Amino acid sequence: MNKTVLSIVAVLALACASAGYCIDTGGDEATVNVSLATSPISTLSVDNPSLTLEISLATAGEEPEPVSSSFMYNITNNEAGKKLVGQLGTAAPDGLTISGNAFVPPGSGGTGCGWVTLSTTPVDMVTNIGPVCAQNVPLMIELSGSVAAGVQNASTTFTMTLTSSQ
Amino acid sequence: MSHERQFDHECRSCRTRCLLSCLLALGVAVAAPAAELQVQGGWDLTLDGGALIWGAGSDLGPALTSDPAAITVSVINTGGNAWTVSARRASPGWPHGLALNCRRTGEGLGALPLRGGAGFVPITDGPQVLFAGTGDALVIPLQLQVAGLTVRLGLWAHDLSLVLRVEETP
Repeated sequence: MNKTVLSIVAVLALACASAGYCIDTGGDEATVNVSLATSPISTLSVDNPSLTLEISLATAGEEPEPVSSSFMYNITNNEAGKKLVGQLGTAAPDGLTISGNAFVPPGSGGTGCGWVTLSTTPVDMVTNIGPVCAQNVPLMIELSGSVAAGVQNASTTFTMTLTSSQ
Repeated sequence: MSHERQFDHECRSCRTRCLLSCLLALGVAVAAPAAELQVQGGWDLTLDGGALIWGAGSDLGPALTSDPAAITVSVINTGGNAWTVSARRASPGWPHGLALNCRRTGEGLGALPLRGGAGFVPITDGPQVLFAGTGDALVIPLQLQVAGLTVRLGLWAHDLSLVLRVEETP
């Protein structure tokens, strides 16, 4: 008799437990997984796609005066240890030198390399760039030459790339 | 013979105690049903250059939101009682400057109307009440928002446990 009663009680208790009507169900909390991440973001743009530089002035007895002009560039980057490198598409004509000076994006922690001579080999212009977003950062381009270059008319492309320092 | 009687008496006594304990436990359990949560969904977000406001020179949009029903919550076994649902973060090392917010984007099915949670509620290490209701309510949609985004935070990844809890209220 008692066995029967105990069995019924046990069955009832199990049924209630499975139905969630017990005090200690542990069902009053639930966990949701949220995964948030950023992937590498490195973008660069220049405000003006073309630039014309013409050497036309000289002081008597001296080499012609260099001429320069500027672009503005925009940069967004979320990685540490990046750098800006500059490179010409074709070499400057004999007797002419093309130089560039990219200013350091404000807040990037980068190090400017100042005026550098541009060639078909990539050259560092700003190093150690960290996470930053900056607009209208100056980029100066200068053309200089000697009278030995004569009269020339040439064009080339300049490419600035945001790349890893390694 | 006397040993057998004593043993039988002890067994009966033990059974009686067990029976009373079970009945007592069963009585208490039936008298106090506990509300439960059933939750589905989550949020998996990876930000890339497409999240920039307009491209080079711009920052990430300051806030991004999940689907309006990224998470659905059902509150069951309430016995018709009133309840509140709260949420908290359960993961250390949350990136400084980022905020995780949550809001209710619908009523779900069942107990109407729900109260609160229509605006974004900041989710912190401590429990924050999201919304409240009375009686069972099913498939209540929730939306998450992460705010304070900027590329200046650098590269980061964070897996967060968002703990939801239902509590019956008087």
